[in-house]
Amino acid sequence: MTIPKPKCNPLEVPCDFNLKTWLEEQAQQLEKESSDNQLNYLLAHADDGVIWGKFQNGELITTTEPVKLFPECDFPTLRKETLQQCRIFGHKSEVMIWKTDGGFKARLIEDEEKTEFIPELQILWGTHGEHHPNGFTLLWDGSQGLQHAVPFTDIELEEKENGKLKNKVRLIVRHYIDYDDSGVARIYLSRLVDLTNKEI
Amino acid sequence: MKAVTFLLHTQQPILATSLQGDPNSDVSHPYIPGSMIRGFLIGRYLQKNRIKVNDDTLDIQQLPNVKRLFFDAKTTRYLNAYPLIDNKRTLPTPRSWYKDKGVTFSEDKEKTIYDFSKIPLEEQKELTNDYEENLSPKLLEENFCLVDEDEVLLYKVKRRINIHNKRDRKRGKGIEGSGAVFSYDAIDAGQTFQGVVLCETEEDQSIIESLLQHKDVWLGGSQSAGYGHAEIQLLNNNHEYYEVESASRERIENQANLTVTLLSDTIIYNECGQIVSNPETLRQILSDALNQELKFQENGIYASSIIVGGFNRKWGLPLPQTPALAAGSVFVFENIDISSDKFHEFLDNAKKIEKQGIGERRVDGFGRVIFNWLNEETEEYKAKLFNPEFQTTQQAQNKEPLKSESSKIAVGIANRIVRKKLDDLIIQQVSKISLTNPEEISNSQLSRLMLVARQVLYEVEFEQTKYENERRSITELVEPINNLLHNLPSNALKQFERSKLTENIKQCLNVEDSWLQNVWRSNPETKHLIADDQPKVIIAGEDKDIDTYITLEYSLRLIIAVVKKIMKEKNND
Repeated sequence: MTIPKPKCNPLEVPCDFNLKTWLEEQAQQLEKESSDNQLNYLLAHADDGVIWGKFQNGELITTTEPVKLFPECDFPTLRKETLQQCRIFGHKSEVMIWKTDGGFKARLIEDEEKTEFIPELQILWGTHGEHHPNGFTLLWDGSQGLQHAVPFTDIELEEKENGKLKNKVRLIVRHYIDYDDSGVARIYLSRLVDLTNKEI
Repeated sequence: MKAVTFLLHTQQPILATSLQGDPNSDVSHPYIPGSMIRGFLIGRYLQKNRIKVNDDTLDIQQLPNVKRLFFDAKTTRYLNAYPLIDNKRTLPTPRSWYKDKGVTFSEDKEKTIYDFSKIPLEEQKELTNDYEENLSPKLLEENFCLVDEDEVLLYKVKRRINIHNKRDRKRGKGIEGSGAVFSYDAIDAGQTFQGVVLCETEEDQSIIESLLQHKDVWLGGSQSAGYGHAEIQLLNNNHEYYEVESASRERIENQANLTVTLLSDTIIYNECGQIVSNPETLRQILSDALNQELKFQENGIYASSIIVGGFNRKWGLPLPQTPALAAGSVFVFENIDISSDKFHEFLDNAKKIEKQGIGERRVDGFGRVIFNWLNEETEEYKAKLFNPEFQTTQQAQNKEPLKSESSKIAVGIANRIVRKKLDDLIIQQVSKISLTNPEEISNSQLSRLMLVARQVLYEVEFEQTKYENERRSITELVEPINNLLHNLPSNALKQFERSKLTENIKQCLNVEDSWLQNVWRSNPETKHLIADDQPKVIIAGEDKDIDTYITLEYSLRLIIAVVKKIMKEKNND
C-alpha cells in the first residue's frame, strides 16, 4: 500500500554561515520557486529559551531582532552558538535546521499534491494575552510568571477580563504516515504548518 | 574519564516528573535525572560567581567557563543519579531479561532470570514449549540491577504516593469549581542515589566539586510543599571512572557478538530531522560513529520507547516532548571481524561512544551506551531483591567520620586501652620467664644492661611523640643494646651466655616477629581484639594498633622487668 508522501530532502548548510541570512535565503528561495509557497513563521529552541519569529517582506523578525520588542521580558536572541533546533514553516513546506556533533544539518519538507497527513492542533501556553503593534502577541498563563510572544495577532482578547483569550492559541502540526514491512502504520515525519486561534 | 561522583541521600520525597500516568497527577522517574543535577549546579555556579539573572551567561567572551561546564556535551555530561546499593551505582535492568510469569523476586531466595539476547532462538522456543520448563517469559518490573558474574541484585525504588487537592489562593482551601484532587507519586525519602558528572579536565573537576560542598539541596517539583530535600555526600574522585567495571577493550575483544545496551534514555534524530525511537536509525548512527557497518542479529532487538520531556527553568517553559529509546534497551549485532586492520580504529571509536554517548541532550545524561556489558556466555542469572536492612546495618558501621576533637578523644581512649592490655601482658609474661642459670650473672652486669635499656626506652618514648616520617629507625634505636652485647668483656660475655640472657634479649628485640603479637593473639583477654588480622582496639571508628615502636617500647619494659626480677630473686637467695 503506498500513501502519497511529502518530499523530504536534505539541505546544504555551509560551514561558516550567518544563521539569520541563511534562514532568509531559504524563505526567499522557496517563494521564488512558487509564489504560494511562503514560509511565514519561525520557532526555535535554544539553550537560553524559545524564540518565535516571522517573515515580513523577506526579512526575519524575532522578538529581539532587529529591535527588542519586549524589553521587559528578557527573551533570548537567535544565534548559532546557542541554537538547538529551528523550524521555519508555512502552509506548503517547512525548513528545519538542527545542531549535531558534526555541525548543523538541515532539511526541507514540501507537500505534494494529495499528500496524506493527520492534522493535529497543539495548544500553546497562555490563557491571557496582549497585542503588540509589531505583529506579536504576548501570552501568559493566569498568575504564573511564564511568558512567550507569538508572531500572530489574530487572537480575540476579552478586554474586560484583563486580556483573557477567547480561544487558546494553537499550533497546527501535520503528521505523515508510513507503513513498515509488517504493515504497521506509524508517524514517520511531522512538521509545523501554521498558528490559529479559531474555535474548534 | 575524569568524573565527579557523589551521593544524594533523599531526606524528603523527590518529584522528578515524568510523562506517565493521569494528566492530573505527577509520576516521578525512578531516578534523579541528570538535567535536574545540572540545573541545581548551574544555580549554585551563578550564585557563587555573582552572575545576575539578566547577564548573558552563554557569552563566551564574558563568561568563558559557563558553556564548557554546563552546555557543551563534548566537555561535560551530567549523568542520571541511579540508586546506590552495596556501595555501587546500579544500572538500568536490561530489557532482554525475562522471568517466568508469576515469579516474584524476594530478598532471601534466588530466582532465575533468562537473558534472551544470549539464548539462541531455537533454545528460547524449547524453553517456552518444554513441558517441564514451560517458561512464560515476562519482562522484569525492577528498574535497576547490580550484576556480579551470574548473580544479580535487583532494586525497585521505594515510592511515596501523596494525595493533594487544589486550593483557592485567597481562601486557602478547595472551593467548588477549583478543588481538584490529584496525586504525586514521588521517590521516597531515605534512599541513596549516586550522581556522576563526567568532565575532561582537572580544573573542571575541581569547579564542580566545589559546587557540591554545600550538602543541602532541593531538587525537583513542589519544593514548597515538602518535596525535594536531599543531602550531598561527595565521594573520592582521584581515579578514572567507568560506568561498568571492565574496560571496553576486554569486553569487545572477548566476545563474538557486539551487544549494545542503553544505560539511559536515548534521543536520536533521523536523516529527516525527525526524532525517532527506531532501532534502524540507531543502527545507522552507531555504524557511522564506529565506521563499521553493523547488522542486527536475528531476533537481536530488545527495545522499547518512551516519551521524554522536562522543564527548563531558564526558559520558564516545558521542554518539547519527544520519543526516545528507553534505558535498558539491548541491541545485538552480528560478529565484527576483530582481526581486521580496522579493529584498532573500531576500538577507539567504541571508547569514544562510551565516553561521549550518542544522540541528543547528552549533557543531561541521555544517550549513555555500553558495548558488551554482560558476559555473552551467561544465559541465566540467579537474582534476588536487594535487602535495604543489610545496607542500613552496613551504613551504621560506616558512619561518617568523627570531628577532629572527638576523633582525638577516641584515639586517646583506644591508646589507653592498648597500653593497659600490654601492661597486663607484660606482668603475665615476666612471671613465665625464668633464666637457666640466673646465679651465673653478676648484679653489676644486670645493672649495666638495665641502664642501657632504660636509656633506649626513654629515647623510644620520645620518638613516639614525633610524626612517623620524622622518627629514627628501630635499628638505630636498639643500637646501644646491640653494642653492649657485642662489646662485652670475655668474663661478662660468658655470664650472659651461660644464663641465656643474650638469646632472650635478641628474641625480645625482634620487632618483626614479635613475642607481643603472639601473646596478644593467644591471651584470652586480648585475642578478640583483632581487626584486619592485626591486634587493634577500635573506639567509635578510630583504631589504635601495635606498631613497631610500641612493640620495642614494651620489649624494653619486659627486659627491664625480667632483669629486676632476677636481681630480686638473687637478693632473696
